[in-house]
Amino acid sequence: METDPLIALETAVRLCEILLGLALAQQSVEHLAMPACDRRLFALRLLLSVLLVAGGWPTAVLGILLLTSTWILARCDGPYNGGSDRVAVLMQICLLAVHLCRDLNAPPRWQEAAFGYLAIQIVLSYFMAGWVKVVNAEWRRGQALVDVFAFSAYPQSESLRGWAQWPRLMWVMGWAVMLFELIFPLTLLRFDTLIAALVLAAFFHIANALLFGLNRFVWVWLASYPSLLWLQARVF
Amino acid sequence: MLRHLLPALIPSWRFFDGVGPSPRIEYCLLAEENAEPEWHPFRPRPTRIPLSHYLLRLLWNPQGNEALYLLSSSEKILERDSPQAREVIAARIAQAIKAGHISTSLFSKPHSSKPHSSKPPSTTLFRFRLMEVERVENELVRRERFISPVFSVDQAWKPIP
Repeated sequence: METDPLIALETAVRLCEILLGLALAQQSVEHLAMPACDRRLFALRLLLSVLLVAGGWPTAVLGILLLTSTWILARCDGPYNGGSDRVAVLMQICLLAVHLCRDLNAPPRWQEAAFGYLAIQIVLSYFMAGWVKVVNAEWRRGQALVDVFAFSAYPQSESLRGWAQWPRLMWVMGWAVMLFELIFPLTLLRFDTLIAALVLAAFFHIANALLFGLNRFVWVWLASYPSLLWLQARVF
Repeated sequence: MLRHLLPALIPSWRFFDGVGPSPRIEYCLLAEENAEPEWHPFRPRPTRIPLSHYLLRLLWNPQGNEALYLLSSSEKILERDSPQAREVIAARIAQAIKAGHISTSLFSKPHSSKPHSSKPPSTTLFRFRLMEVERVENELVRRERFISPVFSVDQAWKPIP
């Protein structure tokens, strides 16, 4: 198998597993704190998350995690936490595929294809999010972000709705987000630009968490970043 | 199974592509099935949050994630009348009634959901409805979009993630 001088496939996969395990553990503990939760299910997921961080029986652990994730999707008639759940499931599928290829002694390129697919989807997650905004006149005029603050259910407190009174700021913020999301794929051309983009992306997710309560998106997207570092080093 | 896994394997990534009508959940307690409803917002957003709580919510935001789940459940009812989503919202209201803090905003107490000192309501029947808020030209307009059947607090509620 080819290894890269910057980040090897093995290392990147392991980093993704550790970060995903921590993200899923955080989610499980949050669920266990809620009175209406299924305690056995989330206690099991917490245990599996710890095993994923520790690196024990990764194929079995990822397989059972994926089964429980699928059960939750079916029980909730969709994701509990929107896009963050979808990325977590995508990561479980891709990492499980990497381990299955390894266990079955498949050609190394199959492992790379499974892990590369994860990286490509994460790149698309930024680019497509920017594309669907920029083709919408409401976003281009700055009205969409005004509406997010004015009446959507996302702002964490009523005081944040005051931001809707600053349409120029909303216009600037909206265009900054769209441009960043659209140029994100180009940052893969160089390692240093990718690092800068990932730092900016992390701040973007943190801002969404602070303003709109989307904290799970921060940790799940961060968990996928080693795949981008590997892809950049592998392809460019 | 594939119906649920495919959107994760081949995601659309259409985050915030447009800002449409936004649902709000309201509940009413009923002395009897046909009683006139008096609607109250369910878990309304707090007016303000201390800065430290914003930062803490990066790591610990179970109530906020519950609110997001209730929001997506409301959208599922409005889009495709999902029975699971109805059950999710009704079960959360029933649980809040049993705990005696139904009118308490969970957002105002991010670290605990201690019940109100007041006694839980004596009624065991309730409904919920979904109001939608949207911008029509320069005005914010509220419209009633869904009213649930009557639920009983005492019915058996299965745990839903």
